[in-house]
Amino acid sequence: MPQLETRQFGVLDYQPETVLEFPAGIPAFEHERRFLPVEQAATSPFVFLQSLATPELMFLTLPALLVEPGYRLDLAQEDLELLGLSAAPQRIDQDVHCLAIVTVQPDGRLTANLLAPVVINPKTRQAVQALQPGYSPQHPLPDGEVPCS
Amino acid sequence: MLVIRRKPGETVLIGDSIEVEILDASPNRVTIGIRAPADVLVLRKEILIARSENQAAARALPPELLDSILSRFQQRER
Repeated sequence: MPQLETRQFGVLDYQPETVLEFPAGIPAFEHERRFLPVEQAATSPFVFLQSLATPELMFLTLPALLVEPGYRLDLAQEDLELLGLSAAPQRIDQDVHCLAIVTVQPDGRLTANLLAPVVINPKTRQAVQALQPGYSPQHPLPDGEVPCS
Repeated sequence: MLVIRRKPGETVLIGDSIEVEILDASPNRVTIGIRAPADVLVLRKEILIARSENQAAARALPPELLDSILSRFQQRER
């Protein structure tokens, strides 16, 4: 089993088929194409997205539906093409998985980026950071805490 | 802000070298085509926001801060 060096978790064993491929990279990190989702019982429901190329690069994420139970996706044609999906409705947790990147703001508040969620086609493991205008890039997590799963 | 009404197929010029053509319009989506010199950056505005938010989110969290975030949640779950 291949191993991956990470800042947060030390050296991790991982299954190559679980790696997410971002054909377009993500904004500001266009050269980062491969991330490993790390989910551990001790850190549930957080999902860490660990770069395969850069041990120091890790994003803290939460399932978008935990952050906002009414969250709906309206994916642009170019994102559908990157994901290899048809234009049919994209039901979160059924057709696609959807993660919101969490930021610790300088004042300590936790916010989730619902404007630009990470959308994953679970069948192909292809992923994009899609834009969903109308949602906030800094959606507050209540009391700086995170919702229960 | 300058407001101009255009129909699909019509064009707006910005300076000498930038053309914006309305290709299609539906009640909730407009498709536009932009002709601009290669050195002019054309971006959906949300991309800039996503860039800066990604940079902020990628800042390494001190381990003790991450532990406190995780333990705050775990306390709440019990």
